[in-house]
Amino acid sequence: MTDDRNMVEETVRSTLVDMLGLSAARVAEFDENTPLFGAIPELDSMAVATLLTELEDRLGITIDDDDVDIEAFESFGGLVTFAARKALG
Amino acid sequence: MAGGNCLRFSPLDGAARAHILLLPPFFDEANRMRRTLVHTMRTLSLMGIDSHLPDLPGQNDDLLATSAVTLDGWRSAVAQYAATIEHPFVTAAWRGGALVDDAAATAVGHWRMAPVGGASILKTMVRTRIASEREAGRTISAADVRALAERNGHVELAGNRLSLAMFDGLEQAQCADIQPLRLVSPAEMAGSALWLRAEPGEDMAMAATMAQDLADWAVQCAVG
Repeated sequence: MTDDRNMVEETVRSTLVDMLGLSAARVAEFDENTPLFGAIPELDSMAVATLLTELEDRLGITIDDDDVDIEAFESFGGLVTFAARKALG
Repeated sequence: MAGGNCLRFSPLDGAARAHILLLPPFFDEANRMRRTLVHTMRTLSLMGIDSHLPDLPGQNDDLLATSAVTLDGWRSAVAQYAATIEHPFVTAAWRGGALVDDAAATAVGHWRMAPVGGASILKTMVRTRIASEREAGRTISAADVRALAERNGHVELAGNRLSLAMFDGLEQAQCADIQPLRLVSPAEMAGSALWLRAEPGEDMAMAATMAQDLADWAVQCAVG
């Protein structure tokens, strides 16, 4: 289970590397409390949409839009928890 | 498109070794790739390759209203443009561009990076609408967005007014099975998924690698 969560976390990190154009080393420093949506100006509504579709593709999951709580994306930890819940149940 | 805008880079000296028709991603993803694609074309011209990057109807600098374009219209435009290119030529498509590359029926080969189904492109655009409505304190579902398109004949998605025909076209569109095909990933081209960038960026190393790979593929296909 921990390994599975780590896999999800690495997938979220690599997606953010591509979206933010940051180095993998920079994104590797993100921790539970690193602020994301609401704190990084580039992360707008189009970025939320892009992130959801990309996580679906990379994790092989389906996300129901009605189930998306944007507040869950305010921190890196919240985003990983959301993705892990979808991917691992 | 045959009479529309097209960016073209040709070799300065001598005849081109081969010709390439570039088909960029659709909508916003095209903006995020454009600088890198243009650099790829400049590099190709230095390698003796002639390359064309036409604007699909309603895209980039083309003045047609986006609500007036359909996927079938884009396919016809690609077919018309392909008919004006010297032979032999190959197509090079990124993302959604691979949904229309088979319309260039006389191409001797095809190159694709990260081809994507139309439904996935549409889903992200519908989600952008849902997310922006939420930011404004309103709630809308994917079904509501579809209903809006049916009621008005068009719907505003991520800054694009899509016709119902384009909405339906994207929902159904799949990349055609074509040969000969070279399929590459961004990682294989020393780059990353630039079309995902929240702020458009550029990657000169990726452009140089893509240019070399495209030149090799185009010449290989041209020789047969």
